[in-house]
Amino acid sequence: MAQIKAKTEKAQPIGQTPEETPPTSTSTSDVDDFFSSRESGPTSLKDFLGHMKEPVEEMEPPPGFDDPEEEEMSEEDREAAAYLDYDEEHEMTAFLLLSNLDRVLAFLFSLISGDDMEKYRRRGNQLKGQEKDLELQVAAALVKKYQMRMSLEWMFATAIVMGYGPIAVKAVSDRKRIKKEKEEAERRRQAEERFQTAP
Amino acid sequence: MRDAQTTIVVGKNGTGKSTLILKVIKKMKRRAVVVTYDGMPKIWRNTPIIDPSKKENWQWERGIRQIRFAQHDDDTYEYILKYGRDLIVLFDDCKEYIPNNIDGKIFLKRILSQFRHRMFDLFFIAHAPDDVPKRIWIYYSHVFIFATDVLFDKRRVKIGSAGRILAAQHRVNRKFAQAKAKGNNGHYGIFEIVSP
Repeated sequence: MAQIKAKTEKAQPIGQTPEETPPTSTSTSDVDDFFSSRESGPTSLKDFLGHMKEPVEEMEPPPGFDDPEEEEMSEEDREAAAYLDYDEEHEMTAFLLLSNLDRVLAFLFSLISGDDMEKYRRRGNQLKGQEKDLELQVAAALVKKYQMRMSLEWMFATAIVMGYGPIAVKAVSDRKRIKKEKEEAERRRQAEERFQTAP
Repeated sequence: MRDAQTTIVVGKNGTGKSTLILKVIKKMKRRAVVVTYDGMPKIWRNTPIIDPSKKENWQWERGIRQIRFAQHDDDTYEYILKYGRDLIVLFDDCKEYIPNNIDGKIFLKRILSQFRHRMFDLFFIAHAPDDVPKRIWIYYSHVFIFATDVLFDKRRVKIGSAGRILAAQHRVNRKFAQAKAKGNNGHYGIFEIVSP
């Protein structure tokens, strides 16, 4: 055992990832012993090798085995399946887009109804805990399909614009309203003055 | 006599998984083809490369040949199915070219469903359990558990042996960490084998 370990240490240069630097050995049995000595668990390497060395049974293929008319996916279906195999990054981008769209639509509905826009929101602001509904899945697939990549800076800018855009619009309408109220108050004040100074 | 088997090997870099599996397939004394993405892994650099699209390239008598997936992309699966028979098929670092959702990979699905009839002993090597598509876990007969930072996700792959795989991972990771702490490279080659 000490001999095997010594050989192993010699084989692996310092500072180099040992992934493809197996323990060098002059005999195959040394390598067998090396791995066997380190394994544990109910199934041993010896049992596994013993089983795998047995000849493989030849099986008669069932009828129609290589039938060319066996069901195949169309090219479009294959493509769609490939796009649906999206990563977390695609999902995150899709969520950001849907969340911003949700805010825009909620704002539009609030303009129609005159009520608070939060009442019309369907999505929260965090992906964590969100249900992975069909919209999110399809959006993520579309992000993958069109290779949409958003830099962090762009994501931040989009989130700020979408977040504060409706507020900016509200601020403008508030300004008009306040100006109108002030003008109305001024007219009333002038009307009162005229009334008091009239002979 | 035995049925053809599907074996999964998971472990992070530097744990000895490729070295062990090379040893295993040599001991099995069957013809073998190893699929790498681009032929780069050092352990396979001396393995002769074949063009799988040519039938005559599949006629070797013994030993290991290598296929570079990047040469024919997804058509590689079709060639394995069309020309391969009675051999070991080893997918090294399979995450590089096998996606999690294999629904669109019709020929890979056929390899998985027909491996017994084709007499393929399949080996899938990956760095983590998540790198192996869900469907392959349904077919496995043995899994070699080397040390890995990513634990088996029981919610993603609902199989009866999930608990035993996780328990094996914990044991192996513990032994790996203890051996590595000693600083004498004794952490190399620590593994367990789990069957369904």
